[in-house]
Parts: sequence; structure tokens; C-alpha cells
Amino acid sequence: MRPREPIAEFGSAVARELSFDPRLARRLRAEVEDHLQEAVADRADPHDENRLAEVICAFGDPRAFARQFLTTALLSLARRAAAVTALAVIGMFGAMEARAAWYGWVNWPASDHVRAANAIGHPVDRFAFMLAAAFALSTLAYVITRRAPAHFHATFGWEIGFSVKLNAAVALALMSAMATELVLTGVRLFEAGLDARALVPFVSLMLEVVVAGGSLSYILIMMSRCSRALRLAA
Amino acid sequence: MEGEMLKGHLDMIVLAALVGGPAHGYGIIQEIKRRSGGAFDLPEGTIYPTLHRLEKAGHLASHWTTAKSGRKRRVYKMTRRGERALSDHRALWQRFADAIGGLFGEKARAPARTHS
Repeated sequence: MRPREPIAEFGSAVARELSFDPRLARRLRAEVEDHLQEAVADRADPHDENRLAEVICAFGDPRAFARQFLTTALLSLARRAAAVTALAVIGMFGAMEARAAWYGWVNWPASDHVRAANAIGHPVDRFAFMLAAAFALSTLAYVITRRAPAHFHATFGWEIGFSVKLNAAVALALMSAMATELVLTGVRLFEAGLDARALVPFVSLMLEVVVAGGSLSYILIMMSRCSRALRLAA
Repeated sequence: MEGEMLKGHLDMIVLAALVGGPAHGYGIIQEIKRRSGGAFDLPEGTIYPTLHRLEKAGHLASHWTTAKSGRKRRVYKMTRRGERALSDHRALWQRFADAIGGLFGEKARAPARTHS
């Protein structure tokens, strides 16, 4: 049975207000529509339009209803973002280590050009990566220790904004590390030409590009979702 | 009963309503109303944030089922952790109720103070 129109409209309104968290929006829409359908069917005359309006009225305003989920949903978004950036740091670390181990295993010594590039690039790469790791750990610790208050308030909004900025810092530091790696490995691969040994460094480098680019895109999406969520608080 | 009065005890009320077995949101509200003799007639939208919060805390678990009508339905059930939490709530509530009962009882029996 399809939900009756006012009930479907109510469900859509709830989903619209919670559009910053599509999974939560879908779940609550289905739960609310089922609830309202059940409440209507429970009445003496379920086809009476007034009773339908009464049931919807008893449920409350969709915006006020959605607002009750705001703090937990925002904290959950912030935690998800922190977990994704932390995984990105681990992924990049794995790719870098695999490449370094491969150079040793296939006995691929660095040429003079590569050594010269490494002398400048390695400290930059290491610093950017350490910065990303430190920010990622701080962000994780920060979001894990936050608690969702019963009602949204400015301090909580600031905390969420701060965690998003920390995540953005992780993503930018990862992008810097990846760009440096791209140059350093690029020089080595360029010198090697079409060599079978180059396959592992090439694949690991592509993995880094995907991980760093993916984490930056994810953070941008999170920033947009958080700003939509904060509009619900207003 | 006053809504504000109930809000502080919603977790305990919802957990208690699920003692009889798994139920969906509307079913839980009906169970609360029935078992409280109509005294706890909650605003219907207030139950869902509590259900979601209890699920996040690991006190409830939920899954989708299909209702007889063919609609998708989210059904909640209490976990072991939820049972322990309810037991703690119950013990706390009993102590509180005993203390209040004692206070009211004593007040009724207390002799009127006289100032000399």
C-alpha cells in the first residue's frame, strides 16, 4: 500500500530537513511514514481526512522533529570524517613503505638526480606526512571525546566546525605529501623508462593519489553537509 | 502527566516497554500508554530520538522487517546491555521512590513544631 499523500509529504519534509545525512534521512522517512500509517489505521475511521490531519498534528512539526537528531547526526558526521582521514593516513603510509621496501628488494639504487631530488623533497614529504598523522590523531581524539548535547548550542557548533577544519588540515597535508611523492617517484620512474620494476612504485603512487584526492573530496562533501545541518539549527 | 517530567525518564520508560519483546516505534508508544494506564501519553515524535540514542549506546538493536501491510518497518529489541541498564534504572528508581515515600510518610507523621 502506498503511503497516503499527506503522510508521504510529511515523510518527504522530514527527509528534506535531514538531507545532510542521507542514510539517516532515508531511515527516518520510512520509520515516520510507517508510524503515521499505523496511527491512521488504528483510528476508528482511518479514511476520515480529519483523523489523518490529527495524526500528523500529534506527531509534530517535521523541522522540529528533524532538529532533535541534529546533534547526534553532526557528531556522527564529524566522527566518520575523522575515521576516513585517519584511514587515508594509514593507506598513504602503507603505500610509501611498500615502495621503499620494493626499491630495496629489487636492489634499485638511487641515481645522482634522484638523490639530489630526495635531498630537497624527502624532508618536505616527511614533514607533511608527520603533520597529517599528528592532525589525524588529534582530530580522532577530539571527536571521540565530544558528546552530543540534548539540544544544539553555539559551543557545540563551534566544536563541530573545529573538527571539520582539523580534518581539512589533514587532507591538505596529505595532498602536500602526495604531491612531493609524485615528483620524487616521477623522477625515478622517468629515469627507469619502461621497466617491469617500475610497476610497484607506479601502482603505489596511483594509490596515494586516489587516497589523498579521495580524502580531500570527502572532507569537502562533509563541509557542505555540516553547513546544511547548521542551517537546520538556525 | 507533565511532558517535562517524563523527558528525564524516557530511556527507562522505553527500555521498560521493550521488556515484553521487540516492537516498532508506534507499538512502543502504544505499549507505554497501555502499561501506564494512559498516564504516559507521549508526543509521538519524541520517541524516535530516544530509540536512536539508545541504539547508539548499544542498549537496543534494530532491523528492518516487512509489516503485514507490506510496508518497511524498523523493529527494536533490547540487548543484554539494555537489560543491565534497565535493571540499574529500576534499582535507582526503587531507592528514589523509597526515599520520597519515606519523606512524605515522615512528613505526615511528624509532630507540629512548636516555638517556645
